[in-house]
Amino acid sequence: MMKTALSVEGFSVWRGRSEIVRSVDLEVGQGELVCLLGSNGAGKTTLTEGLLGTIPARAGKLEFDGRPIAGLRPWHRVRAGLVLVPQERSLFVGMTVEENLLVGAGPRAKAGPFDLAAMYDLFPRLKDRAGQLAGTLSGGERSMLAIARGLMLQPRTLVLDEPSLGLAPVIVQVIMKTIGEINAAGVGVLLIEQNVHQALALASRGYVLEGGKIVAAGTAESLLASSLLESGYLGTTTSTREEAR
Amino acid sequence: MAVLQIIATGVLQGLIYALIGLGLYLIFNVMRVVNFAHGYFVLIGMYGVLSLKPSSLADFAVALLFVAAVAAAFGYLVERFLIESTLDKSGHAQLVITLSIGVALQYLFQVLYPEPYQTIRNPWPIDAINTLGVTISFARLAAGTVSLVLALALSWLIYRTRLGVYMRACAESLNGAMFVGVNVRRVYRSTFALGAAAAAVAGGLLIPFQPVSPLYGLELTVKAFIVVVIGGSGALWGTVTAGVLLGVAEAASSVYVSGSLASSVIYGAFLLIILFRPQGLARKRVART
Repeated sequence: MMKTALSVEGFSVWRGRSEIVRSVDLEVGQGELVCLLGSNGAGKTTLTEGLLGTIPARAGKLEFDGRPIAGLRPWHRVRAGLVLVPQERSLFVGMTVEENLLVGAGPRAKAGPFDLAAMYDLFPRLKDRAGQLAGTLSGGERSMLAIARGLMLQPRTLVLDEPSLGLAPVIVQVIMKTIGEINAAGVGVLLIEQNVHQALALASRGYVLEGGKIVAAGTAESLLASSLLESGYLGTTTSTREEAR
Repeated sequence: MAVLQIIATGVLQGLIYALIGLGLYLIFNVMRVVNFAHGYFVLIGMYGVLSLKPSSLADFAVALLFVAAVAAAFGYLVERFLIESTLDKSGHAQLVITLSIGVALQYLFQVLYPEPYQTIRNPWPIDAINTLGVTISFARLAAGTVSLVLALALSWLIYRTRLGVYMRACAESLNGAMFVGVNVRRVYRSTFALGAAAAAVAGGLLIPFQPVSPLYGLELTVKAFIVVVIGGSGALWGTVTAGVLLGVAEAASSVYVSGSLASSVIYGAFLLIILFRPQGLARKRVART
């Protein structure tokens, strides 16, 4: 039986006065790759921000690696190993690629397998752009930099919020393959995606979020087989997604 | 030689404005807080050194360190207990808070120091130097030089130290900073303390040749704003350049324009600069996305 990394019960998250995420139950095992599917406006990004503690949230249970984290500030959650790669990337656009990677790598940062050299191995494109300002990168490179910046924090569980959003299909392939490699290195991943088929191909389990609630959960196979994916809940497949961003 | 005199006096005065402006620049860029109390932080330095009555250069140096520490502690407490809780809420509570602190300090100084326009005896060993027909009070020369050194030190701190990296990260993307584990609150408190200390030291450097009155705080706040806005948000050198420009403009208009009209001319000139270059001298290197 796999040990639980992230364990969430009765989790609600607010934006201003509206409750966007309503009483969600969610679990990610240590080293497991779980995906969270949902259409635009389902509350996926709000859920991630609630998990990191940057917006108000309430939970019956919110534990990370067996330890309650509800009272921790975002930076303490990050240092505990719960790392978010946000949908809007939130890069430091006026800093170089390398500076972006090193911001979190302070003197008190944890040592681990994900150092600068490892990141450049994983994303050779970033090595070519090391001295370039992050604001000048393409969409795919931004996503890679955001993931690499998150990995530099030596996460135990990585929450990836739509890493393929707005990217060309060929870049999506690269990103997805890399996510598989990161997971194979032992990092737990909560992959939030609209690219249903590619996400389920990587994941062992999945959740479907709709209107702020979990409407389906199960193994990747059972979700693929279910009628939910065909019902239009999740929109269509990858081909119709916008590519310019 | 009037021109040389104007330039020398103006540049030296401008370097002090640059140091004051850098404090405001940091607070504004890192925290996005418009600090209306900033000019009054300068007064903390002026009145602080005034009360300590330094009789030697060593005394004066100690007094400067002392006012820096007092202002830093005051700034820290203001940020920690008044501003911090308002930052993640919508609305403009910080405007009212910093403005109120400024007004409160103004009246406090009025009560504590009823006699206006006080100054201290020149703590520097030399009174003035004459060269090329230009006469510069040594206190002014020293104040400008020390301000320049401190501006360079601030720049080193911002571009070369860990705290500086965190400050720049918060300025670029607050969420990004939080998501890479930066303790944003600690960075904010340090920034506010640092900005207040820079302002107070500038005040301490001013007091030997600039008589102080409680009303001077507002004027300094306005000047610091001019320096920051003209300087632009792209880089520190913009703020320093804008400070020097303000100093020279002030020196020139005090010679060529009579009396109270001088201030109007300066502010009019800077209004024109803003109209033609609203982004300031140093723009951001890349657009925000």
